[in-house]
Amino acid sequence: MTRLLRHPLLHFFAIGATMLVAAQALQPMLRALETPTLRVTTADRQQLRQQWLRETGVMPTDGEMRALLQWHVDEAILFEEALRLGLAERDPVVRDRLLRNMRFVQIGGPDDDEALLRQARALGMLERDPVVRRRLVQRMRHRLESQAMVDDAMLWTAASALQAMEAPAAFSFVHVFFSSDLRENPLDDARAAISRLGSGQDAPVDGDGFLLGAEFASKRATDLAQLFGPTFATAVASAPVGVWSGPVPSPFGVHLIRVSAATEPPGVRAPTLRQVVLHARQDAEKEALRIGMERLRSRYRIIDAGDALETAMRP
Amino acid sequence: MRHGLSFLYAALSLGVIGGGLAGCSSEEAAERTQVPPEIVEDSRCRDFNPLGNPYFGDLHVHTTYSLDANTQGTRLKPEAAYRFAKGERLEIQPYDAAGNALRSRQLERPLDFAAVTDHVELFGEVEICTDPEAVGHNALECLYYRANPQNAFIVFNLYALGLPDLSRLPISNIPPFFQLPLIGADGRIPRMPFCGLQGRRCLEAAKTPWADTQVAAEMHYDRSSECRFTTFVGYEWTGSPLSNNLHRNVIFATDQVPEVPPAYQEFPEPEQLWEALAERCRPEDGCDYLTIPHNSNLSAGLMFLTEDKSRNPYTAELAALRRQNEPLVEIYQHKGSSECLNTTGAGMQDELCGFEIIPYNNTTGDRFNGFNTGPPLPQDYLREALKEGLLQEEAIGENPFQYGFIGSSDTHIVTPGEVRERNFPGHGGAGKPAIDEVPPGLTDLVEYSPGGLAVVWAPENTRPALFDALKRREVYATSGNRPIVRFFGGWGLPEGMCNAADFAEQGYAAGVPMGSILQPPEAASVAPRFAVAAMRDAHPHAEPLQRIQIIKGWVDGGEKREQVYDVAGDPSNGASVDLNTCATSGSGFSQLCRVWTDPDFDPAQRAFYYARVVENPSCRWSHRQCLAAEVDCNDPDGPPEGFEGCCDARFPSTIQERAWTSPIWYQPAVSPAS
Repeated sequence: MTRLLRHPLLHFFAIGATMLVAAQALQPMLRALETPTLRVTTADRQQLRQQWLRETGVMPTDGEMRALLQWHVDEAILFEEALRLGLAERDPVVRDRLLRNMRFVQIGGPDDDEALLRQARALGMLERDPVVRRRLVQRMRHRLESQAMVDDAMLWTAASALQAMEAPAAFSFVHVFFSSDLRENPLDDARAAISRLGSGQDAPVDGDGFLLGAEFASKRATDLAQLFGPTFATAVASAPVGVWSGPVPSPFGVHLIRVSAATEPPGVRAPTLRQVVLHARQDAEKEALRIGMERLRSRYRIIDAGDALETAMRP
Repeated sequence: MRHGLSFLYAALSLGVIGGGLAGCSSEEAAERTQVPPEIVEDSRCRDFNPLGNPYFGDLHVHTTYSLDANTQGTRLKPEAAYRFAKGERLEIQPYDAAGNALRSRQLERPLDFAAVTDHVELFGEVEICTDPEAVGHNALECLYYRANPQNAFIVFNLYALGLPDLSRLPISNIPPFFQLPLIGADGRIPRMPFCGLQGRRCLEAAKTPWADTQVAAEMHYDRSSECRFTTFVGYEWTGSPLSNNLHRNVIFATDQVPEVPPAYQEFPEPEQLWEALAERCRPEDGCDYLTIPHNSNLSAGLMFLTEDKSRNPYTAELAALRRQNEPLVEIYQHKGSSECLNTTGAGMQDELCGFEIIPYNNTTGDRFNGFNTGPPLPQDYLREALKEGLLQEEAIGENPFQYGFIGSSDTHIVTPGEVRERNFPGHGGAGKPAIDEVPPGLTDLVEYSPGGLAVVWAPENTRPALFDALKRREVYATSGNRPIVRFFGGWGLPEGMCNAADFAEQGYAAGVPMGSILQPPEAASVAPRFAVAAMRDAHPHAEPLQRIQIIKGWVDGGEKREQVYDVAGDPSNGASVDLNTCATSGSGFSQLCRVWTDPDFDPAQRAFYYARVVENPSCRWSHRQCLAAEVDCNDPDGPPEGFEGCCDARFPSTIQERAWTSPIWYQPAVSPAS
């Protein structure tokens, strides 16, 4: 037994097994050490809140704050990735900007571009210059979008979406108009007229002329608001079908209205092939950006100091 | 050109598009997605109306692709312009160092149609100088452009658009000068050196913004039966010899457009532009176009010259070419009104000509202490031009100036339709820029204004329907408000039209609409009748109508004549504005209508008639801003920085918003010339 315990082969396997178990146990820790880390500080949170407040005049809700944090983290990830891929070294706008910055602040020092760029990087200008940062984030975003592939399904989806855009409610109606220019009391006249009208009866003859006529077909509420004002549009939208209602005021006077049954659109127009392809391309770019961002987020560990907890900002 | 989805089916099944990209067959795709609705070819829009609906739009919009906008810090592209026009809130310049916009705007009432019309002349130059990956990006000119954009604007502009005007100077008749390579012996203007041989590098680079302009127009054109929004592909041809404005917007009828739009450098005269367009935009290829001159008020007498490029008088052929190519003119926009001038001649009787008059005659303006400009010239205004057109018709048998009227904004900050007096952000361009910060004081030069709108009477909101209406001139202009105006002319229009429920139907049946030619009557003794009706703008901030006028111009024995008739409403209705609060008071009209017979008609005299619909007065944009800033013109220290315009007596505190219909022309049976 002792001999067996002293056998080198046993030692070899035992050490190997121990190392294997240790390696397995340490793997998450090692992986964590390799994963790049981004920190969301309390100052970041505060800055995001202030920015939101400046733009909207109100403090962000919890949901809005989460969205702001996600946006902030995504921008930081895109920036880090751009640096990792060396875009900062190659991008002409970034180089121009850094060189201009350095030449502006330079007193003595090197003249050649590469030396100035090294100095700029050493001074942290890549991180601090907002133009550089924005440019690198944009380049990275375009890089993700450029992975877009338009497939047949996307073309079909775009074609269907373009045709099936939700049609807003539309109204067909006739009206009798009582002009505030021509009558002393158009409201009383309209009240008297509607009392004489029964459901489904034809319009009385004692209305006034209206430039756009007495009949309107398939008008959206937004169109009516433009023509008659919002009060009139709301009244038409809520009027019972097939009976006279009112009086309804407008900037022109007073109206009695009778809404007929809603009419269906006369047909469906087809988008052009080019239009379909362009929309599909736009959808594909959005999808490529979404997928690319998800992939990148999975590579980063986010430490949110505001919550004092380590939080992976993953969807 | 429209394709049904059947075309998409066919293309997919043939693998023309997309087939090889995803390894997914069209059958599989069809299973995964909804089957598109059945297609009805040639279907009509939901609100199709054979008698026409009024559609409001803006046909003059600049984005970052225009040199002047670009050098003023405009970053937004055509797609943003269309989003804004459709009602989306847009963040606009200036931007802070981190690229955040400092202002935002949104239309209260979206537009029905719009066209982005960027200056084409320096498309390529701007593209190269702003795209770091473009060949030539680090040329000296581009380094200068990026280092000092505002001065670069002047230099680039002078080089590209100013030097050619040498051909208009007397010395250009002297052979050595005429042969100068600067002028261009072949009638072209040399491009900047970094554009390479014959400007090819810049012409090639110009294709990128031009393609983007087309894509944006296509993406935002609603081809569904809802017909919510229509776009047009367009651009601006920017002839400005010595800053004298000859600009034309070119609007294309369809998505079939020239690969490279004809620009001023290659085609420096309007007639060359029309020839180039005719060659590159042929009906048999599905292409059609029209050109719309604007700001004739700033052309220093050039816009309505009746001479060709060699200073020969217009021939019938050239006059007809002009009329056929440009049926419309922009009567009002950001840089003022071009209707009429109330300073000299017969127009003196018309006090309403004083509306938004720019006090100089070209785009140099007050820069350089007024050097290179002078007071406005009557011949630059449309009323004179329309009368001159009648004279030309008598002399050569063709009227070159048979213009219908539209308004637009000419925004250079990508805000089409932002034409309210309230909260006016300024439109940049030739006006006051907002580059790195919102400048102190008034948001634009005090002589400028928010601009106007184009209104089109068309049966539906589609490109073909709107373009047809533009071509037949069934359009009117507004100063930014949205009244609805009809105008018909005829020999037998019923007297009782105004009280009829079918005003438009009777107008079409017994007459012709705005923009038309009224042919002579069968009975020689009849005078023409005109039926004009207007509804006020229903917006709560809009003022009621004050009056309608009909303006007649005619020629009598070779003399130009004009007369303004008040035909409806009440010019003395007592409407007024409290200048301390901008509150308005007094009565007005929600609708006005009149069937009017010309009391001075002479069947032998050529004439035109157009209607002007005028609202009660309200505060001008500048006065609103002066009030908000509590500017005191009696302060011995003078007004605060940027508010000097508040105390400039040349500019009124109030305006009367208005609409101008396209004219109706009367043509005698037999031309006196013949």
